[in-house]
Amino acid sequence: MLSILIPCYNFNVRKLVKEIYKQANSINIQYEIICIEDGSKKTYFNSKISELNNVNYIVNSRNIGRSQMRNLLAEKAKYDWLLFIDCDSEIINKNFILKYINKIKHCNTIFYGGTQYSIKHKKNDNTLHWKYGKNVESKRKKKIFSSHHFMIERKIFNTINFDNKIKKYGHEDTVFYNQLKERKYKFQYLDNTLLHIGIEKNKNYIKKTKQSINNLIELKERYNLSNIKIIKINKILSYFYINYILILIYSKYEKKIYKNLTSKNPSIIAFQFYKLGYYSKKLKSFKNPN
Amino acid sequence: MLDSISHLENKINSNINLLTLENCFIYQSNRLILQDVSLKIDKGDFFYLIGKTGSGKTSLFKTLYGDNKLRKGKGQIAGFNLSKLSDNDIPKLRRKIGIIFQDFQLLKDRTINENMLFVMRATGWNNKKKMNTRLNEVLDAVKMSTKGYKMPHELSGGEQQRAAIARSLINKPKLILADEPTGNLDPKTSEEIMSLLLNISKQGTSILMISHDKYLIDKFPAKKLYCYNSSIFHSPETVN
Repeated sequence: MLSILIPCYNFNVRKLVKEIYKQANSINIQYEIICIEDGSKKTYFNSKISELNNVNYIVNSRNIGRSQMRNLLAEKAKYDWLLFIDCDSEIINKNFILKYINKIKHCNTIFYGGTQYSIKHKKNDNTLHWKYGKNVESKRKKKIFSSHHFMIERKIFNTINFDNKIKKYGHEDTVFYNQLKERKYKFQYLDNTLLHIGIEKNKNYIKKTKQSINNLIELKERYNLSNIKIIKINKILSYFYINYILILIYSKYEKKIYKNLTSKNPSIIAFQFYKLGYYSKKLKSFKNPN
Repeated sequence: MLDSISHLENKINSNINLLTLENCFIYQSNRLILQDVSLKIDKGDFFYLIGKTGSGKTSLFKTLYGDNKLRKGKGQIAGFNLSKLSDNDIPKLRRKIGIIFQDFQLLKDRTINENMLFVMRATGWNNKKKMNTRLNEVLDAVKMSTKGYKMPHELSGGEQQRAAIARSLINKPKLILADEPTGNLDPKTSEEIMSLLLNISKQGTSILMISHDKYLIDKFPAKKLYCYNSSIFHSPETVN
């Protein structure tokens, strides 16, 4: 019936796996849980989960990246439906698995749920990720597909897979989504949220955001990604020839904005400007390397 | 002195011809794409631009809005000399050319009104009252005045295209370049969009539209330009 697939990277997944195990057992379904460590430096005694029935814990000593890892998980899966869950998640809903199970009869549709961020926040050095997630990502009126957790039929997954060539971080799920959309598969949002607990430190979050933008610039040469917001905004600004002004302002204030973004109280508007400025500048140098 | 005479000459010509190309050579990067292109578009003209993929239609468009430099030949558009465009001219020229391209979509995270206001701000509008007046005018022109508060995903494909057309009208363009504006729409909606575009051209905005839809081209007859054999012609390619 269902293969629950968790790519693991430097995160303690014991609590997550135990909760999935508990929920899946209580509804009496055929299932398996497969966790693969993607070259993690820390494994937090995750191997203990292999003591549970139906749980397969594999350590891959080499880091192969999120795309190849998901393909590998799908390859190992034995059931017809695959439920991917990111390792830095916490289940907050007793019927989380059941809500997905109830959708299993619907063919040609990919199901995905939302992401929630904790209401309170304690640390000072990771406010940006938390604030952006809580105030922007989880508040979008139109729920954009995210690979945080989603369920797909194995035969559909196998028709396209994640692009193995994407080794770096970012937007591999956008490419995956677009390719399935082009093949006319439907996506359905489920009111089934998971708590995202892997909140990055500010500096690391900015670094990852930049990495993801670099990846986007490379990927947009190979795939049609014209539906991505940052690409669309840049197109409009470039057409009216004001992306140059944007790049000038970004270059002048980059350090000041960075200081704000790494502070205790970062501004979300500044972050959005920072991303757009970084993208526009990178894209310009990508097109005109000299 | 000579400059001001030539500027005056351009201005006079632009009242008669919105766009004139004389023996133009169109390049994309360093590759010659179209040669010896001559054409005239008058105020309020509606032209179909017909040609296979890769025949040079997009390169022509890019030359018209100053993204490709015109290296050889004479070209003027809306009072601008295409071979002497400066960096200062480009934003001014582009405000006079509305574009409806498939990769120039509405921003999905904001309402139709906010989409219009975004372009207004990007093109230097700052008076709120004037912005709101123009916003109502353009939505009214595409019969969308009651839907400005909606998000793009709450609208049908045809309505989204109407909103994209409204957005292209914001700066009262003299010319609209449309790249298959009915490409993803059903036949009935395509006809509605065509009627709307023809109506806009009757009010004085010239339109140059790429289309492959033979049914539409027959149903809504207009002037045609054909892109083949590395040039542009007024009659279709004939097979010998």
